[in-house]
Amino acid sequence: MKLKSLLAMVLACATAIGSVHAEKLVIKGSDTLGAKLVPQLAEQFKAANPGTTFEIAAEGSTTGIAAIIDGTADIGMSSRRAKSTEVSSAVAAGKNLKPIIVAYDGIAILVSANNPIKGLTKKQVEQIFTGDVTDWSAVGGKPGPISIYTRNTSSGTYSDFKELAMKKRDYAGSAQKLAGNEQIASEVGKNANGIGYVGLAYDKAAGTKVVPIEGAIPTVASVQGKSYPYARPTFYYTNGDATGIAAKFVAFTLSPAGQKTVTSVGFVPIK
Amino acid sequence: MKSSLKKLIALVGMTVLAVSSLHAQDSGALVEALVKKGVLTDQEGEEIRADLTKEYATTSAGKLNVSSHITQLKLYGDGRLRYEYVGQEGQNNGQNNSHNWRARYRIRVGADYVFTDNFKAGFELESSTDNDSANQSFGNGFGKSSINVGLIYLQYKPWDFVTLTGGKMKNPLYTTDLVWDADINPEGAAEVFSWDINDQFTIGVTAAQFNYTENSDSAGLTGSSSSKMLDSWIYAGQLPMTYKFSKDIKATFAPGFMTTTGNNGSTIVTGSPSITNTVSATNLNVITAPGDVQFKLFNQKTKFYWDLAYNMSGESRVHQTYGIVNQNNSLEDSVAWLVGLQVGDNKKKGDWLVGVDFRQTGLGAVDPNLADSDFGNGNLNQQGVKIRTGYNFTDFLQGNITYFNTWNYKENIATTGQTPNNVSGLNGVNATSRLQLDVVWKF
Repeated sequence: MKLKSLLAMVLACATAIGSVHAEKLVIKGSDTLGAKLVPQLAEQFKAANPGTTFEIAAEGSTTGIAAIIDGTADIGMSSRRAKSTEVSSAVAAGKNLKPIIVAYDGIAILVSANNPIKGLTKKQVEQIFTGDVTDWSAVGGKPGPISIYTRNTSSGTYSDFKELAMKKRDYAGSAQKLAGNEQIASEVGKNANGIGYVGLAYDKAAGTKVVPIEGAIPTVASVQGKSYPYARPTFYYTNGDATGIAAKFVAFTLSPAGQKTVTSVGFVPIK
Repeated sequence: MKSSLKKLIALVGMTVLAVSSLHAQDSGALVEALVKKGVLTDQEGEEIRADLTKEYATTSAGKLNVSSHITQLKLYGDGRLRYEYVGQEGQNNGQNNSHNWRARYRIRVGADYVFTDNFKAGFELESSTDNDSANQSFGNGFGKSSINVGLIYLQYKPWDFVTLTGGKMKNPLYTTDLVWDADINPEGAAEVFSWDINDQFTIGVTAAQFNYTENSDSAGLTGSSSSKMLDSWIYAGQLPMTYKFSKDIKATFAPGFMTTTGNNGSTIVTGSPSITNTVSATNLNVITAPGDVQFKLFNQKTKFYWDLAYNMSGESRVHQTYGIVNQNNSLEDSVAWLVGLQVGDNKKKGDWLVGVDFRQTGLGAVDPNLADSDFGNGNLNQQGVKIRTGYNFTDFLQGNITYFNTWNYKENIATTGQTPNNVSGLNGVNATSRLQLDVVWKF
């Protein structure tokens, strides 16, 4: 009995000492945010806050929101809004999903640099990604079967694109699902008949070009001005108002220094 | 200022939610518009949107997790309590007379799903296995009834004028209960085409392939040609057309043809009415010509309707299927017809409806397994009236009274040595009466 009490005391002390010297921030979710932007923000934050450690897992927005609901992350990264079913799950779990807009993004349509296509309409984009159109000749391109590359189903970009560009219709059965923006850009660059979509921070991959949609391409001005049709906010989600080190990191992300990083990585700042 | 406005928007949104959770999306559009106009910042808009979604998530609808490829979900059902008298006067000096009062119930629940990409599907569960009724009788030692699948279908609409359906479906044919009992949900495939020629005239083509009886293919390899158990199919085609004379007057006419494949081994077992449970699906090549004219009478919706069925193989059906070899066949045996008038409607509280029709059904005219199971207790060679009235106590609760009275169409149908009117499809019936008192609630 005494031995158990002693062990508990030792463990409690060890935990208390550890928490003083190393604060760990767990961030999970969107690949769009988590592949480049958040790691860079984390490095800058660590430089100003020695002793802070980060655990970042970028496996899709769905995993980020789920992590807030099940309490396994301090911040959930998401490139889409939480779905009503996720909010419902959060309420049931006693959590309060609070969205914080950290940057804007434009979903760029990428094709091979060798593709002669000069532009697409919103209707043509819908037709291509739903499989209504399967050959480039149907949209003014060089004849050839269209190869579609999309994100996987846990991606916020995957569901955002369905909502923004496809009238919520299903993707074509032939669409190949890839884990991240960089993989999509890479595959499109290697395939003359390929088409895919990536966040603004990933639209300069070798061998690819951005296709204007209704004459507009994603830029800081067109995204902030909401003239580009596939523009969207990106989010941190927290359980209610962030506290402690998480609140500090959110504040840093929204600060001029953080937003400068947002811009340098290729996203559109909130102001 | 913005803070107050934000609270106001949130309040409006919550109020809308309180009225109907379905308006959550409407509030989202309002927030979107205010953000676009610069009244709210994007962050304020997101917070209001999140609050609205959270409130929505606490409602019943918000707790439903419906797949994103479902754009609309309709849950529906109805319950019915019935008190019914069934009387029957038989041939042979009352040998087959019977009468009975009984209490019955029926429940049906179902769902229709509208998918993306022009697909739709649905199912319905019912409280009976019979093809033409979901009724169960009370008084079975408080026993319970089973739940069965009444509908299971998938529908695809590649273009606005085409609807393709497969499975167990609502009858796609325009018809009356002279030929098809309204409770029968046929199984197979149907293709419905409909074109609006102009604002007044609509014309269509309906084709249906119904799997009537399924028999083992190996069983069809043995036995004599007449006794092989072949599958039986119903193939039907129809040309429905509707002409609108004015806002309140329109006429519909839907000539068609249906044929049944099979042989004497392809018996039909429907379960209701049990007296006609083994009538082969043979010699049924029926031309049908139902229609109606709808108009207003004393400011009430009124419908004059009719149906006509002529079995081109009526004589063979009487002679071969029913075995009445020495009956003097006449046109009467091959023809069934009805005319009726219905005044009123029964959709909303206070609506009332009155209707009456008269019909004659020749022995070889239609399939007794498909025709109304209540008229003549499901027997053929009957003529008589169906009178009904209904009143909606509320939008969901209605009371209905229906009365059937029938008597022999032709007398003493029999072959030598048989009891008159005692063949399958007649079962010795001379006359019937049936009174149904119903309370129905829809949910």
